[in-house]
Amino acid sequence: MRPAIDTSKPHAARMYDYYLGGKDHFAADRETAQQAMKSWGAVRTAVRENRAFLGRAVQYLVRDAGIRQFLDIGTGLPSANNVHEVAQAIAPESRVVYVDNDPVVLAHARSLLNSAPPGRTAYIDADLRQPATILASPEVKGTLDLTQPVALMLVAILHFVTDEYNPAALVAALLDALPPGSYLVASHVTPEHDPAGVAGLERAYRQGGVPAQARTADDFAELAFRGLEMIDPGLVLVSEWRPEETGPRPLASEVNWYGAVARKR
Amino acid sequence: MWLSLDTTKPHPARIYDYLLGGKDNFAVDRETAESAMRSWRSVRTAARENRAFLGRAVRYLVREAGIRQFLDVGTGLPAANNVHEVAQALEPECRVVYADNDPIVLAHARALLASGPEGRTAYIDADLREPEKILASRAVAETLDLSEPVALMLVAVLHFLPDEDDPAHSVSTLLDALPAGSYLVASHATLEYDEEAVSGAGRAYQGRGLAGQLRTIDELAELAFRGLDMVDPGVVPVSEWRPEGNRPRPLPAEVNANGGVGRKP
Repeated sequence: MRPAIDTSKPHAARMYDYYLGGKDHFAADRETAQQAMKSWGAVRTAVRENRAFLGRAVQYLVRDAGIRQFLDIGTGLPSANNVHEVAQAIAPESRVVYVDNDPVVLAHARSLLNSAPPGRTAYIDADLRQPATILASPEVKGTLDLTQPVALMLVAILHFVTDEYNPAALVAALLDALPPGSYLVASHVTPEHDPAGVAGLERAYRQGGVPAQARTADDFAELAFRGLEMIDPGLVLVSEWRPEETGPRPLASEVNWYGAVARKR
Repeated sequence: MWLSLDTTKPHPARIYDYLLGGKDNFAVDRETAESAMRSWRSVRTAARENRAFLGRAVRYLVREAGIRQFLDVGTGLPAANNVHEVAQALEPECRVVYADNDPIVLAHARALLASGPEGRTAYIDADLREPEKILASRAVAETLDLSEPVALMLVAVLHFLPDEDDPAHSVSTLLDALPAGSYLVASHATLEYDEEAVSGAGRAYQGRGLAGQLRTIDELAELAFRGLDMVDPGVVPVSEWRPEGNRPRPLPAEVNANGGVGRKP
């Protein structure tokens, strides 16, 4: 059964698609996104930097850390460089389970499921706030071997989980199910470099019915990476995490977004 | 030598430096940039994309077109990937003459003159409106061999010459002095992708005494590339000119600048 798509309310996945120049969004998504852009003018730059961080983190995990399994929660709409495409380009046997709570993502999941043969992908229509549902799903059981290391991807999603939902407990519940040698990749919007601009985006989202909470580097580290071994260069702006290009990179006040990769001991 | 710097008027080179995150700019430059950004919010993205276009064009010219000589008019302040650095990283014997009309660029020209020993660089304090002076300079005579192909670089400079300054005369005078097989690299801001944003930025510049003229893709082609053989993909948004890697690219409405590379037959 298909969950109903409510086009009258914006959704984070569709706004992200709009920022990236995609086509899978509705008027409500565009209106909220445009409102946010009035305050944080470079949000499109930031979203691209986040997407590029995701790609570099997956490349690092496959190439340097030997990871072949991914659990990607808050996938968003299919775009350039989906996790399985990046991973399977290096190691075709890589397996990915995608999770999102937007029915529009579900409707487009086919392009996330076009795995090349030795690898495998699956999709779950679920929410980060239900870690037990995700872990007990037939898709996770049928796709991932939880006795072997898995990379948990929480990219640009934790800032949509406000404190009342206890995001630290959600992260811990997921990581507890993964063996030592597993990894966490996470990124998170911060108010530190442009407080007014980012606060304006939070307001625009909240007015659209999308709760959002930017967090400082310390709060983000505490919530997601406590007890994990940080991979160099630690928790930094997503644009500064192992950058590949030599040209000028965007300023902190444009990016407003931290990311890190860490290993479970 | 003392330079007379007028710090009460903005200068495009210093605004560009500010947009790229540099430090060689004054309050009036920052104010002009901030004012432009209120309308064209992604102008920093545009500056970075223009700079990246410059780098890709130089690599194309050195690697695929065999060019070893460059005349770069409207250089701007030294930043990452100056022309001679990009060119000499591929072919150390490359020679570059830089020209700018901002005394502060002259003051920082030492960084542009740090040529590798096999190549050579020179700097002229000159204006694109005086092409004859550039061509007659000692710097050109001693650095470039005008019987061999030269790449003329007019990157993000022609839009500072309104029609009454006769930019077509400047382009043709410079190109006429170069032999067949020479190249022109040019980029130019345009209104055609986001008229409201870019015209607002144009007003911010003009209101502070910076003349200029925005031109469409067709007007740029006519002004700069008439009679030249265009290198693929022709005149396009600078971010779409032979992009490298597969990371998501900004939209034309963020970049608002076209560019191309043409060969003199």
